[in-house]
Amino acid sequence: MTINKSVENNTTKLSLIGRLDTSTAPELEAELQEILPSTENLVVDLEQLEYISSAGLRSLLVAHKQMAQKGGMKLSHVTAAVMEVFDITGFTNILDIE
Amino acid sequence: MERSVFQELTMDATIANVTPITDWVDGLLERSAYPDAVIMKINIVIDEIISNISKNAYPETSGQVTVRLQIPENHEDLKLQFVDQGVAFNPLSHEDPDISLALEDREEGGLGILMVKNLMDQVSYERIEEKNILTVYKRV
Repeated sequence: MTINKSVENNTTKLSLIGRLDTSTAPELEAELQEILPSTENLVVDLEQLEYISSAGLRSLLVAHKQMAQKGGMKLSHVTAAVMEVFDITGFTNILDIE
Repeated sequence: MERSVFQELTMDATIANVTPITDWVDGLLERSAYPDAVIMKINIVIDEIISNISKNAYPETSGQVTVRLQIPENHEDLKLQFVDQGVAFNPLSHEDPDISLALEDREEGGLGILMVKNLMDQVSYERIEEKNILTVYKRV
């Protein structure tokens, strides 16, 4: 997985490219721990995310909880395949999906 | 030319091997021209099941998993089997997590198997000769 990062004012945008699974979720978690203290709003762009497994869901959930105390975390460009996973697991109701 | 495929791969059941196992299965499915949407679902299943085996079948030790892929000639479905020799563990014996609950009321775990059950058409577990055998079946 590749993570592209851009920062504008107090909003950080992460674009996830590839697979978010057991082997790549730690990369996202490390990136999130680094940026969370200094960002007010977080946007995670999933346009080029091939798929997400439960390990990936857990890392999004941790970020969602941490950002809830600030400006929040938004997910953008969620594909139909990833949305299906959010639906199955009930994450559609938890996460803030644009 | 369309043909049936029956191949297997044995590797250590570790998180580090999720990617090579996924790539191996993907290669065979792509060669048989399975739709991307099906391949993606199979990829998720591989991640969930291999991580489950490494955590639950081999909690203290490490061990191997054999992944068997069966593709029929007509490519209208496929069967994937995961065989390990770890402690008996039936992932299907656990109740599904209640996904309607609020975040703070939810219990940890169970999401992976819930996904496997929903993304596949059939999932079955057998314990035969000290082996855990999990079989998933997907129609195209």
